[in-house]
Amino acid sequence: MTGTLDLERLEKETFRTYQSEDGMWDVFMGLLMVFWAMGLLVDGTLVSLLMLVPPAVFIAGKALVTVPRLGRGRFNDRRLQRKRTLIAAVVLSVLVTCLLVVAVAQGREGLERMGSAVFIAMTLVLFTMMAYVLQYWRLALWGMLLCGGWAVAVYGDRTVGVAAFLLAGAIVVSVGLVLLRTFLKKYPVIHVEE
Amino acid sequence: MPQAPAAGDAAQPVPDIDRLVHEPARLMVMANLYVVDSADFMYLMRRTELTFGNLSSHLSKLEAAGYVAIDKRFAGKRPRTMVRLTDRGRAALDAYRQSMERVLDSLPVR
Repeated sequence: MTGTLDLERLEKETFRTYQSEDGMWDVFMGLLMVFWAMGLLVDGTLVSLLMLVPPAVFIAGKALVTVPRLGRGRFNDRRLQRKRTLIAAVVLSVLVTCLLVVAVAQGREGLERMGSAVFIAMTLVLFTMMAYVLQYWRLALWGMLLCGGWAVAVYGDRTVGVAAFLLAGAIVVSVGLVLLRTFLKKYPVIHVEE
Repeated sequence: MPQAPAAGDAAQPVPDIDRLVHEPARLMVMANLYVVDSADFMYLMRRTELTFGNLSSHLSKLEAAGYVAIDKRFAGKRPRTMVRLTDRGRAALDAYRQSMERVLDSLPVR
């Protein structure tokens, strides 16, 4: 009889609790989809500013809601290595995006449609990687919803795509809020005098 | 009426178990510290469901034995205490696991 203390399972469960039990990733993804859909309808500075809301909500949520309730744990090198790989992938994606934007702006024929396809594919790959690093597979599903809605809006019926995007975003935000409510009930604030 | 164990069925003698690690609350503390680099009091309280006083008491014993290191700093004006398992603590937990696995594996299957 072995496995008296399954440390690997303990580590995975702890990591998963810290990453996804609070619903913050779901709220972030849902808001991203809602504001992205709005961006497809309305161009302008307002939408660009609105796109700052999802990451701001996520960062503030983690700092003001999650950490005071769960405390701080620094995970080990294996997790950090995965995180570094993800950051490298994000940086590479941003560079490729910038190159494509420059190419499209220079009026290279056919690149505009191809550019959207590349953005969508890159976004899907990024969210799948994030799901792998964070061990939060729902993130990959939300990534597929986001990319699917985006693809429909760009290559198919714009109105249908935007409506689907908005609806999907609303559902994802709702899932996140339900998780958050459960999290707040499960982990009330404890005041620790250190 | 329970039967007496047959000859050769007796469990192996229990080797020296580290009683500092063996205590259930301290075992939970060490196990949770083993899977991270470091953690604060709130993290350990949540993971082990110990009260602050209880946790402090166990951490004091583990620190006295050299199994954990407690690092007190300030984040701005707020104190932040981080706890980590030392190399000696990791070795102690590894040795404890091996001892317990030997004991449990030697038990006869019924």
